[in-house]
Amino acid sequence: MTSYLDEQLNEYENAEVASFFNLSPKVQLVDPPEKKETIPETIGRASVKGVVKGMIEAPNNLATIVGLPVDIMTAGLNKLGLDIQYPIMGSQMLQDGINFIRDSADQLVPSSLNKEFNDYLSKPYDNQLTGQLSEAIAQFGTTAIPAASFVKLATNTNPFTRSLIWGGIADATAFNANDQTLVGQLISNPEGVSEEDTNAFREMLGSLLEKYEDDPEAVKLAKSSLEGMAIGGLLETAFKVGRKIPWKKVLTGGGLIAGSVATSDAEAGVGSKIADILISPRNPQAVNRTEDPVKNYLSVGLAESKTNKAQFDHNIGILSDYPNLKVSEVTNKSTDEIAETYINHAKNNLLYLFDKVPTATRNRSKLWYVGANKIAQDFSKKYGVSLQSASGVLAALSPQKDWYMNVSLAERTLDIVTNKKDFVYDAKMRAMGLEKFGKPQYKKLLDAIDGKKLSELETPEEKAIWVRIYDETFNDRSFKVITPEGNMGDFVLTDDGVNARAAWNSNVMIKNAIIALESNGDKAIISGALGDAHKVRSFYNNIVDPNSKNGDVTIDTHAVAAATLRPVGGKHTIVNHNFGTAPSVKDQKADWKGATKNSKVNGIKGLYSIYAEAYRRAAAERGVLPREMQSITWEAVRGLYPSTFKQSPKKVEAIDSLWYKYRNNELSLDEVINGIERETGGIEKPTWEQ
Amino acid sequence: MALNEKLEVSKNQPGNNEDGFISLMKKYDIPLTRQNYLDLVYNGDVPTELEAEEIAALPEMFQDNNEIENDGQMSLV
Repeated sequence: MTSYLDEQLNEYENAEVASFFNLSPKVQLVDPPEKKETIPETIGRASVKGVVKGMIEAPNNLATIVGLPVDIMTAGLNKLGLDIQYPIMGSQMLQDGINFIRDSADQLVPSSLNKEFNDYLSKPYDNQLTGQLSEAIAQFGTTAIPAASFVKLATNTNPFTRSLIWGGIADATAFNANDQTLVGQLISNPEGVSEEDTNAFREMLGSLLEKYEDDPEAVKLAKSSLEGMAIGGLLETAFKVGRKIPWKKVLTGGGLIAGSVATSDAEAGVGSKIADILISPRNPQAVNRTEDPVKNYLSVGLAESKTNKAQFDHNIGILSDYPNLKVSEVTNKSTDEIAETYINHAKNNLLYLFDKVPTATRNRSKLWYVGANKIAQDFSKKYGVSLQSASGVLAALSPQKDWYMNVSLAERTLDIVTNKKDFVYDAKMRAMGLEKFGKPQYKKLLDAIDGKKLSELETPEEKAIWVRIYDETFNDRSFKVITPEGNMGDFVLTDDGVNARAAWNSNVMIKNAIIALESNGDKAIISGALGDAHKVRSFYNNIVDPNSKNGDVTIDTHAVAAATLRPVGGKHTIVNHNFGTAPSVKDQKADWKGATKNSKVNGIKGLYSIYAEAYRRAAAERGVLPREMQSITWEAVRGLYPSTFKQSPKKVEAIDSLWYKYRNNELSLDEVINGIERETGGIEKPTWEQ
Repeated sequence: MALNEKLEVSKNQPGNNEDGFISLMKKYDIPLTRQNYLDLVYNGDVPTELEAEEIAALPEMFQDNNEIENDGQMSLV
C-alpha cells in the first residue's frame, strides 16, 4: 500500500534530511514547486520540518521530561537509538536524529541550520491544515518516541513517576495548549476543514495505523499525537486506552472527532463526543431563561456575570467591602473597574502561591484531577457503571468534604448500591435506624423501609437513608489518604494517632449521588442531580474530563482562601458570597453586610464567576490549565493555613488585621505577604509528601 | 409568605420537580418544619452551624436567606 507516510520518504525529504544533518548540503535542494503543493508534498515537507523542530528541542525536552542528572540522561540516550524499532517517520531519520542529538548538541540551534534549508521549510504550506498536522505529528514523534523509549528504561518507577514523565513529554513536545491545532480545528470547527484536508488527514493516520496497527508504539504515536494536541497531559491514561480505540472505524466512519477526544475505556469503546461528557457549570432554571444548559455548554465567568447588570453591580458592590481591596481602589470607581481590580488582585495572590510551591510538589499537585479521573475510571470498572456516573457520585458527595473522605464516601455508596442492593434491612440496621430517627414523626418512614432490600425501595431519598444506615451499621469508618495521581495511601489519622472516621454529608447529597449512579451516564439526569451550584458542576467536569479545554475550575472554600490569601472556612462571609448563600441570622459573622444576588435566568450564583475568572487568568500566565492552577494553589493554601491555624481565632484575626491595614493603605501588598509568612511560618508540605 | 406558597416556589428545583425530601416528608406525614427536614437529611445529627455548601443544598423554603433575590420564576421543566 502506498501511504502518505511512505510518500514522505520522497526526494525532497532525502535532500532535506541530508542537508540538515550534514549542515552543508551535498544534495541540491529542489525549490518548492511553483504550483500548489500536492497533499503528499505538503506532508513530506511538513514532516521534515516537524522532525527538525522536534530534534532542536529534544535535548532540553528530554532533560525536562526525565529530570535526571545529565550523566544518567546521557546513558539513557545512548540506549535510545537502539530502542527505536519502529521508526514511523523514517528509521534513518529518527536514528540520525538521535545520533545528532547525542553528538552535536552544540549545533542544535536554529542559527546553525542551512539558510536555504531553513527558507525552504519556513514557506507557508499550500495545504495548511495537513501541513500543520503532519508537522505536529512528526515533531511530537521525534521527541516522544525516544522519550517513550527512555520511559521504558524506567519501568521500575511507580505509576505516578511514569505519569509525570508522560506529562512532561506532553508538556515538552512543544504543543502549546493554547494553540489552535488542526485537531482542535477539527473538533471545534469540523465544517471549516476542507474535504481534501480531512481526507488526507484520515488517510495519513489510517495508513499509519493499518501498517502498524498491532504495534503499540505506533498506536501510542497516533494516539498521543492527537491527544497531545487535543487534550494535553493525560498521556498515561490515553496510552492505556490507545489499543482499544476503534481506529479504523473511527477514521473511516467520519468519527474522528469522537475518537480523538476519548478519555476512558468506555469512551474509547463507544466514541462519545466530549459534548456528551461535560455538563454546563451554569444551570439556569427559570422558565424565562434564554439558554438551555443541557443542550448547550454554558460556562461561568466574568462575561456571563455581566449579563444581568443589576446583579453584577450588586455583587461587585458586596466585594467592594472586602479587605483585599484598598479604599482607594473602590472609591469613585465603576463596577467594571472594581471587578477588574479584584480579579487581578486574586490572580496575583494565586500566582504568589503557585510560585511559592516547589516545582516537584507542583508537578504532583497539578495532577489532582487526573488522579480524580483515574479514581472515577477505577470505580467505573470495579462497579460496572459509566465514567460519568462514577464522576457524578464523586461530585455529588463533595460539598464540604475533604477529598480523602469524599472518595471513601463515594466508594461506600457505589459498593452498597451495586453489591448490597439485595441485602434485607435487618435487626442491626433497625437498631441503627432507631438511633438516628428515634423521634415519633419518623416512625412511618422507618416502618416503610424496615425489612426491605435496597432494590425494593422506590425513591432515591429512601435509598439514601437505607445506604447511610447500612454503612453506619456494618462498615468500618476509616478512610485513606489519596495521592495526587489517584492511588490509595495509608489510613488518615487523627492528631491522637488513631484512624480518622469518615462522616457522611447530608442525605440530599447521597440521594444526588444515587441518582447519578443510576443514570447510566445520562447527561441530562446527571446535570439535574448535580443541581445549580457552580462548584459541584465544575468539579464533575474536572473529574470526568480533566483535560477539557473549556476551562472549568472548581472554586471551593479553599479556592476562595487561595484567591484572597485569607484563612477562611466554610462558614465565612466571603465563602457564602462565593456560593451565593446566606447563613442564618444567628450565624452571620461580624463582616456580614448582605448576600449576593443569584439569578435563575442566567444561572449565575454569587461571586463564583469572579473567582473563576481570576483562576483562568492566573493559569494563562503560567501556561497551565485553570484546574491545574486551582489544585496547585488549593494544596498550597491548605499548607499555608492548615485547619489548626483556621481554628485559632487569634491567628485568623492576625491575618485579617494585615488585610484591613492593606485596605487602609497602611501596608503594601508585599508587607501583607511578609506578615502572612511570618504569622504562618510558610507553606507546609501536603499530607502525601510528609 | 405562607408555607403553601413557599412550596409552590420551591417546586422544580434543578433535576427535580420538587425537593425529594420535601416529597418524602409529605409521603410519610412528617410535619414540614425546617428542624424536621434537617433531622431527616442529617440522620438526626444536625450541625450546629451549616457551612455555605450545605446551605446551598437546602430547599429555598428552608434557607434563612430572604436577602437573596431570584429574578426568574422556577422552571416547569
